[in-house]
Amino acid sequence: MKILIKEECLDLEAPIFMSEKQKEKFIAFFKNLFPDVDITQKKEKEKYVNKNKKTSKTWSLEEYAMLLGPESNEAIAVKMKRTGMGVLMQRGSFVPAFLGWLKKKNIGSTISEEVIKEYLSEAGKKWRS
Amino acid sequence: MEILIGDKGHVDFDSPIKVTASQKEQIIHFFESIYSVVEPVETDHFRTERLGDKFFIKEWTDGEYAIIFQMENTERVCEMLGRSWMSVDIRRGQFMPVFLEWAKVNNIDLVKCDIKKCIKEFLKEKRDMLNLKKQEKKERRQSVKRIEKKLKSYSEKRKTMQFMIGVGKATEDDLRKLDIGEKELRRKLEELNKNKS
Repeated sequence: MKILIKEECLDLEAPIFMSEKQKEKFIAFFKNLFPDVDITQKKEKEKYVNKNKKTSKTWSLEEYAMLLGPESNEAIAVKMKRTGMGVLMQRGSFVPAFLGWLKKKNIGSTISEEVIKEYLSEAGKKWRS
Repeated sequence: MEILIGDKGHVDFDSPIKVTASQKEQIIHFFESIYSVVEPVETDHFRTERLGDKFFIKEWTDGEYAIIFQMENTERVCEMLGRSWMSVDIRRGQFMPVFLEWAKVNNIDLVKCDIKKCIKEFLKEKRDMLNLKKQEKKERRQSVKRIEKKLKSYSEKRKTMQFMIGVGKATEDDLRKLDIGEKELRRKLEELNKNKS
């Protein structure tokens, strides 16, 4: 995040995302620093508004395994008959979390569907068999 | 001062805040205590649009790239960077195939390796690629703007040309050339938009 500074003024580069815990700390901190702090609730603008939201197909173990390979998102999307954005987002979420889990569990890097299944169970995620 | 709290998890100020030197230090320290990458930057102007006015796009910094490749779950990375889960998943999803390919080519076991060291090496090698992508994106945006501006002027140009033909200062052939020029620009625009998607 960038904090912009000009003389005696300070601002955020853009609105910043906070978890509930961070938000609480943030509000408490500013209320402590300034005498008058008003809080206003706002409706945010969204970039992706899909009015025809479809529920996405559950991912199979084979599909999860494919995300761990070096193939491009586009190639995987064609093979799985999924959208490029769907593959990109699932990959961005699943791969780092899964690799981090393997490391934490000290499990070797030979990945089988059983290991993926174990991870998904622990993470409380569903899969298609 | 007024704090804006969004319904999708973002937070903002309703305008820049006036601070003393000590408050400035405290605020920077506070943000450093809750985020992993904090960059105080001197500026000559502040934004006027605030949370709720539009969808904000923030450039990714090298410091942030070092965090997104760390093997943490999305929620944790969002907290570390102050970015939404969608923004983190999209960015990670874009670069994960490149990272996995790089690890494979260099025979690196991502589970066993020192991940921070690996990320540093990867970013060092790929920095040129990241910069190139940014440059390409910028150039494409500028080209699209330039072409759209030119296309807007075509209806006026056509009217002028028809007037010129009427007074014998131009020919039908000149008008045809104008049409060909417009068609060519539309083709270029379509190509640029296709590459974008």
